[in-house]
Amino acid sequence: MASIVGAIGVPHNPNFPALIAREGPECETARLFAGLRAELAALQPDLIVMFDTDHLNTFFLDNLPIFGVGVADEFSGPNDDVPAMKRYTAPSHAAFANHLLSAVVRADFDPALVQDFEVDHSVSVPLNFLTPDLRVPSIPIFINGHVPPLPKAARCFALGEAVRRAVESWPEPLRVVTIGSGSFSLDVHGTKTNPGQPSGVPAPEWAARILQLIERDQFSDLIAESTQEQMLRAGNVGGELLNWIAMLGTINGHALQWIKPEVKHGHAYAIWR
Amino acid sequence: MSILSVNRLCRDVMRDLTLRKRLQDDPAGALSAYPHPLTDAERAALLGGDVGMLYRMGGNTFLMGYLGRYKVFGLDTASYSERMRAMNEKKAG
Repeated sequence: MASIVGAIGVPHNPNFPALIAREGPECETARLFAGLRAELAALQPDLIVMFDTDHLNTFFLDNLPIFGVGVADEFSGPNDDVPAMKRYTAPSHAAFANHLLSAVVRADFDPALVQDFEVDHSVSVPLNFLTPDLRVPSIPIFINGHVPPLPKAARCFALGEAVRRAVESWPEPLRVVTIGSGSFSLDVHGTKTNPGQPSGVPAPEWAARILQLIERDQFSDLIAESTQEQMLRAGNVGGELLNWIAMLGTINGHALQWIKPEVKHGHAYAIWR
Repeated sequence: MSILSVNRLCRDVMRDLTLRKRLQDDPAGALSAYPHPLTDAERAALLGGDVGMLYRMGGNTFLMGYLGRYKVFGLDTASYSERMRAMNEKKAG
C-alpha cells in the first residue's frame, strides 16, 4: 500500500523568486528551501500531496468551496504574475487524486471536485524550490483559509487524518510526502501592512506561539488556539495556518526533524519523517 | 449588496493587460465599457481610488491590492497601503 513517508511545512511568499534571483543561493531563504529540497529528495517521493489556500486565482467569490481536490494529469501556474517566475506545467496524478476524493467523501468530508484548474504562487512557489525538476507528480488539496467563514482548525486536522488513511488505502506501494504551504502571520495588501508597504507581519508573537506548540507536539492546543478570529488577527493570510494543520493531521508518528522559523517574517520551514 | 463586479474588475486588472492599459489611459471610459455591472457608488469609489470605501463595501483585499500594484485609479503601493491602514478596525459587519 501507499504510505506517507514525510511531511513538510513551507511559506510560499510570491516575492521569493525575485528575492532569490537578486540575493543568490546563499541568502537565508534560498538556503532554507535548499535544506528542505535535500530532505525531500532523500525521501524519494513518488507523489506529493499539498494543502493549499488559493488567493482567488484558482477559484473566485462566485463559487468558493471550503475544500477541493484538484484532479488532473497536469496543471499550470503561477497564474498571478509572480515576479521573476515564469509559468510552468507541473505533472499530477488524476487517478490517485480521484481516489483521494472518493475516500475523503466516504470519510464524511464534502470536498469539491476541481478539474481543469490553474494554481497561483501558493502552489507554484513551493514546488519550484522544492522540486525544481518537477519530476514528482503533485496533487493540490484546496482549503478555504482566506474568505470567512473558514473551516475550523479541528476539521482541517481531521481532513489531514482522512487524507493519510486515503493514501494508505491505495494498493500500490507509492511513497507520498505531504506539504502544508503558507505563513503564520502575514498581511498582504490588507489593513495591517507596514506603512507604505505591500505587506506586514501583524502578530509575530502569534507566529512564535505556533512555533512553540509545534516544537512541543502540542497539536491539540494549537488546534484549540487557531480560531478564525485569532488567525485573521495575524493578517489577511493568517488562515494559511490551516494548511499546516491539515499537514500535521497526516504525520501520524513521524518525528519533527527540524523547524527553522523566521519569526520576524511570520513563517517557518519544517520537516517530519 | 453584491460587490462581485468590483472584485472581478480588480482581478481582471492583473489578468487583462488591455483592460489595465485602458484603465490607466481613460478610467471613466474603461469602466463604462466594463461588461459587469457597477453601481454608481462603486464607480465613484473606483475612480477616486477610494479603496477604504471599497473595503467597507466588501472589496477583497487580495484583489484590491492589484489596483495599487498596477497603478490604476491614481493609486500606487504606498497610497494604497496608507488608505487601507486607515481602515484597520473600522470595517463594519
